[in-house]
Amino acid sequence: MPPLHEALRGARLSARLSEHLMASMVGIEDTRLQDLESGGTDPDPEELEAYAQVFGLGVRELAAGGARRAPLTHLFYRSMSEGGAEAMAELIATGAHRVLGEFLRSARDLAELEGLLRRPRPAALPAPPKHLTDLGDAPPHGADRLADWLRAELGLGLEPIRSMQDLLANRLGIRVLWVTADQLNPVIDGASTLSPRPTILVNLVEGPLCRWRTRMTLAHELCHLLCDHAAGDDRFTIFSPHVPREMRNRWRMFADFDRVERRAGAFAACFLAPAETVRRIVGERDVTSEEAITAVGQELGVGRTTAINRLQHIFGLSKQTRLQMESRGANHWPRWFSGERAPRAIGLRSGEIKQLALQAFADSRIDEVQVRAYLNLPLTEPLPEYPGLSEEQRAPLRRVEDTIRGIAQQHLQEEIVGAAGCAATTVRRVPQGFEVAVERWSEGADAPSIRCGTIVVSHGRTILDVQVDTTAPRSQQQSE
Amino acid sequence: MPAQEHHREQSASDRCVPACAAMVLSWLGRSADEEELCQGWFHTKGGYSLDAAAGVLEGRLFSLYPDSPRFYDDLASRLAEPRWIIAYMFSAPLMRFAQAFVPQPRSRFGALATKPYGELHAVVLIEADATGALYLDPYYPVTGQPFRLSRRQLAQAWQGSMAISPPRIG
Repeated sequence: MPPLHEALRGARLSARLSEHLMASMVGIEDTRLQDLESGGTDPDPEELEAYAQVFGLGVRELAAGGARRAPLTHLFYRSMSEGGAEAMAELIATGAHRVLGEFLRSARDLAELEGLLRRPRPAALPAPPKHLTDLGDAPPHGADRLADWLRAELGLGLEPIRSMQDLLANRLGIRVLWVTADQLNPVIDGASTLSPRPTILVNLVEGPLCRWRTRMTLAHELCHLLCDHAAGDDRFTIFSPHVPREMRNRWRMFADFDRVERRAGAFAACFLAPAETVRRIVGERDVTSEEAITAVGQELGVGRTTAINRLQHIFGLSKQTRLQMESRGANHWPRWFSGERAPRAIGLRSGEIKQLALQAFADSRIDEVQVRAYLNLPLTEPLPEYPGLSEEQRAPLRRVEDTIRGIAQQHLQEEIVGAAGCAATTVRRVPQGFEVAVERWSEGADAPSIRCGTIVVSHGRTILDVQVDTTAPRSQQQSE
Repeated sequence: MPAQEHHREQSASDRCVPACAAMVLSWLGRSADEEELCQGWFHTKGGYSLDAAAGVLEGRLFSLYPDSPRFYDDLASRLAEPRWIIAYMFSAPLMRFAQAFVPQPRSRFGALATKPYGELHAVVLIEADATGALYLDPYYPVTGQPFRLSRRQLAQAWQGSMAISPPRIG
């Protein structure tokens, strides 16, 4: 096990991150980072947590030198090696790196819990032939052929895909985690990782009911999972920014990023709306009509822009025609699709992780501390209700008041002359924090106590006020 | 050298912190006994403090509150370097857990907690694994030590303040 400061420094160097970038990601000053990496001081719990989160790891994995093999390290390294420093800065400025880190941690926890519960490992994803994954220079970078190949591979024919969620979960063993735009900056549509298990993150930028967008994001990320990792190397993760054309350069994470993103976007459209199916749906309609656009959108579960794009490409419409189609707008573009359900649980630690963690606890495969770590739930909180878990099993492990009493007791023992025999006892909430009663016991376990003061502790856990009379006479009024 | 060879039994009921510091110094290869430490220790305030212990160890005083969801992982990662940690525990639950140890430890100072609201008691955490942590307790003789607490027990007895040693060289 390397010393902690070496693990921190090693993690940064593995990713080729500058001290300044790393400090920005952790949220500390550069000088503080230098102190931490030289071993001049120890990281606070919050700093250690932030460091681990940057790499999508738990603190124990980080301390054990696990950053070298982390998928996010791989992405950062590639970015820093291929001129992506500006994109890294954009990522940090939006704060999205924290959510991506937490996404990777969630994927790791999912894999761990599946292992603990002896769930079958997901089968390997279908591997497209090499000639289909070559990006080439011209759009759509082979996305149409790739989409046709995957449909054939999965036996989907030319039928509309009723539910991308079911397809990913049941046919491909891919887990999907959901966040909202108030949790992840809306500039990031989604992300995906192959390691430790195939998992997709969807940012519900337009809300959970905007199912066509969800379907596009899922198909987009599926393309990344199938194509965009080096052969034999599953340490792959990527995120998908949704930015205007003029901002794309600023978000170029690595040399091929633009083409990789364009292919994934085109793949999503081709996979959800195959050319032959679009032709069949349009039938005798005027391909430029609102009726045709709506029919394609509704039957295939894609958005208006995607429907128009597909009509343009499939029927060879001019740019001018396409602009006219777009400019008509649609006052009431249907924001639903009959086959795709809204996500059941939103939040990285909701849904699958919650279910698996509570099941693992109910089966006694993990303890009360570990289940709360998986759920990111303080030990002072009860566990959610779950079949097979009693109220006693769900009860908090301790109370916030215990911690407050401990702080007051330490102050008594260490800082107040003559306080031996005094103890911090009951805690009550007051506007500025907590008021802890101090009582003095006379000799003997059964002797009554005498109230001799109070200590006020702030919500931030600092001592605000101490009023303790260490000379309190035995005859003083007994405490309540 | 096995961990228990560094154990020191405290010489007075209020000397758990200096005894813990003597244990950690022994583990670090620096000879020190509790009496020596107490003589040099500032004792102008209420008692022997973790802050002073951190100073003697050339380590760091630290707060790691156990209500955080991942407090155990944080603690385990610091112990893994390896480092030893002097940590305050609530004496009442610690005594309750110790009653289940075999052989049941007995101290010349009597029960560790005698009041409904026990005082804080310092112990030395030496190792943490996937299910719990090992510690040396100066309140009891060396027999049966190091003792083991499950993660649940640790979460319940843990106060939050600790003095963390520097890593041991070699």
